[in-house]
Amino acid sequence: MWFPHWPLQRVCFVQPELKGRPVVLYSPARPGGSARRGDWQVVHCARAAVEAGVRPGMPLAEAQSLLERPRAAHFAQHDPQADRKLLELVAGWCSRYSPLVGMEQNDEPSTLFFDVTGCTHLFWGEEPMAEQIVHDFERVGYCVRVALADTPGAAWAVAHFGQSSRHTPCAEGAAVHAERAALNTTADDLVGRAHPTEILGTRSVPATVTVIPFGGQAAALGPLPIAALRLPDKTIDTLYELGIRQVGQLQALPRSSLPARFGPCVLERLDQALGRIEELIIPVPPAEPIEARWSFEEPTGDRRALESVLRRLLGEIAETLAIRQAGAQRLACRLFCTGTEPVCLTIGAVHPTAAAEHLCELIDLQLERITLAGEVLAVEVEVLATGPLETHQQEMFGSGANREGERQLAVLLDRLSSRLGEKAVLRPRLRADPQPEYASHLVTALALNPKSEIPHPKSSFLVPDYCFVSGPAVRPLCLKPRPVPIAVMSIVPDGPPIRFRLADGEHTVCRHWGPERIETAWWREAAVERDYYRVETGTGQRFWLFRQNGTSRWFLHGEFE
Amino acid sequence: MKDNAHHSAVVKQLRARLREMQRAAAPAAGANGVSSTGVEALDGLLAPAVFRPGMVVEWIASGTGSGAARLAAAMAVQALNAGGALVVVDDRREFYPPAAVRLGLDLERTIVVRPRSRRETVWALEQALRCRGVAATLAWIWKLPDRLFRRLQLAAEHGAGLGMFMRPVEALRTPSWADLRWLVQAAPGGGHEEAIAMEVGFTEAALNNGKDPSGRRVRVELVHCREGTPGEAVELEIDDETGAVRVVSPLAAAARVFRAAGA
Repeated sequence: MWFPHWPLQRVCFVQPELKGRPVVLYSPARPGGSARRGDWQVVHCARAAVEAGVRPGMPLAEAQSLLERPRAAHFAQHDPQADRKLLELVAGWCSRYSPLVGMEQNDEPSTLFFDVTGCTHLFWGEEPMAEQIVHDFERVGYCVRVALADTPGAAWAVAHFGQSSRHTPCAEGAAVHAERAALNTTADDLVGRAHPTEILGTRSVPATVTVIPFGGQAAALGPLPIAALRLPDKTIDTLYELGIRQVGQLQALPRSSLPARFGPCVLERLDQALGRIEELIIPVPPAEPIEARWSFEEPTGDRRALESVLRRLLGEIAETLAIRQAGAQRLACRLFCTGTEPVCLTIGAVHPTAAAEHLCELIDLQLERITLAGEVLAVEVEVLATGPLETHQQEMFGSGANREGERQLAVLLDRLSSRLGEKAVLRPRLRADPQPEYASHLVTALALNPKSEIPHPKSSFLVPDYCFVSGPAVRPLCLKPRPVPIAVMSIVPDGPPIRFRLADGEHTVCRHWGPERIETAWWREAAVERDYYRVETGTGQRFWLFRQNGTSRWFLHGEFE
Repeated sequence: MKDNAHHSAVVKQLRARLREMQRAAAPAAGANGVSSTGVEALDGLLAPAVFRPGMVVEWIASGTGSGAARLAAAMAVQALNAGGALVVVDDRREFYPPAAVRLGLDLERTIVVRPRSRRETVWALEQALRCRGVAATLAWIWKLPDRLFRRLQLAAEHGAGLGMFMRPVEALRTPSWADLRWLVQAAPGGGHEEAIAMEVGFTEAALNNGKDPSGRRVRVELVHCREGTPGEAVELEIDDETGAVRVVSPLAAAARVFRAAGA
């Protein structure tokens, strides 16, 4: 997964108000150069700055003169350490996609490697997984390009230089990128000048997905520029002077001559990309746990003292989260009481949050429902799961109100889940199962962030197959959790009901529709063989009844309320 | 007697005219996006000024399977048109999502809350009504004391969403803070003659092959309304197959009765 113009993305992520504005990052013209104004040069510039004529490599003073409204522009010193730090955090969040997440091994990394072996089926396949990753990062505000291949080298090459098979604008952009990358010689050029039309902004590099089929890396790499092999700048210069611009041309050369002519790294990188030799993904070490603890000098049963300590601990947690630019998604609060086991309160949040007040309120909602068996000796708060904080630029027009509504809805879900329990706050989902009880299921709202939900590739068809026969079948709005046995009179053994008795008395069937036969679930414990009838009683009420086939047992399954 | 009839006709005319004037003066949509019950015939009984942010509507069902929730769902669909989520407080654990989809509700924006006690139900309702991200809240509430009802109504005003409470017929005897109170009574539909036939021993209804039109009839009465004329009622026919809701023509009903009598 490649983050194009990662330094710019990081700056805009930290300061969302900079999105769309001319952002210019500069650094000393020479490593270790003086801090005099004339010694600075532009290293990264956003799209708006490029449109004003700013280019990477340009002296900072010239860039400032080109921008008509310098006040609207944002100039900041390039900070590779901060870039690396945030990328490491992002790598930590990516453990949701793969247990092994590594980072590109160079001075200014902008690419993460995932070993997705055995993980793709959890996302309904390789392409849906890649799309899911792109979707998740887009939602948070990042722009990424994702490629799946047999080797890390091939995936890196295609993510940076490959043409997308799915997004035409990106394919065009990638072609420009590849061509310019081939024409330029230095790594800085590749980052800064290779694709000036794709600098971060409103029309930034489109996030794309490319999946190279099994064993297809040789064909995929052939047309790519030699820079796609992650070679040193000097080697690229040499190859360029010799007219070798594409990987395919390099592949055509005799293998034995390559190390002698260009050094051992060329053949090594080529073989790594093609899968001839193994390339290890060096995992990013997990971040330190975020936790805070308080021990009372004397055991206390005072709720106010307890709440005060909780506020303090959560404040510490929030500060740590803010430093890491992350939010807590699950948090555990343990109360160590005298004479009993520790009481553990677990809270969750739909969206990662670093707001101490909100976290404190969620814990209070649980705390007020429990009675502590003893006095409290110590309190421990630990963040169990973190996620990237969502930051949005304020909008003067547009969907600002909707966004605020979404935020408030997320807070509501957190509150409801904390007070009623996570299993009481649910989102309904349909399932392609003809048995009415299984045609839908409920998923806890906290476990399923609607925006990060992994959609089934055929989610739009998640209605029972039998519905396609003559449109969706009529179903009652209220379905009994379990079918209720009822006494029914019918004239013929397999005929429709005529009279039935419910708790409120006897009902005469005036009209009926059916039978709708459902025979399924032979693979479960008990096969289902039912004849369903929609019935209208003499008073106009409507019910959904079924008879278990082969028996004369009738059940009430729903009410058309 | 004749004067009385004349007066009532004049009053009826004036009411209709007043409604038209109010409708013309009202904004195109309520501030919370609800400007309709989703059923044109029911809108006709109401003054447009009824629709306001934070309104609470009671749907009182005369019995189970009477169709009240079907009409409430139509109103929820209207409320969701302007964005926001639908919260269904379902302590009975009977809400069935496939049927909701068929009625036009968006499951992506639906939250189902299943409280375990009445106290939790009221708390969850208050929270949902108070939230500005919730466009509509639907709940089945059997007993709702006056004070709690007022509290929920104030929460709805704060949240500016739509609150819809499904209530039993016993709720008619209790005070209400709702802006609208509908009484929904199931009415025998087009198959009435078959029921009569059955009563006298015929089995046509029992041998019905399921090709009967699926329209069902409900009588909806406006019991209480802050702006408008309570007491008016309309008889609707709801087609379960197509979802269409139309007003029952009195003439058409009369004709069926004649046929059943062999005329």
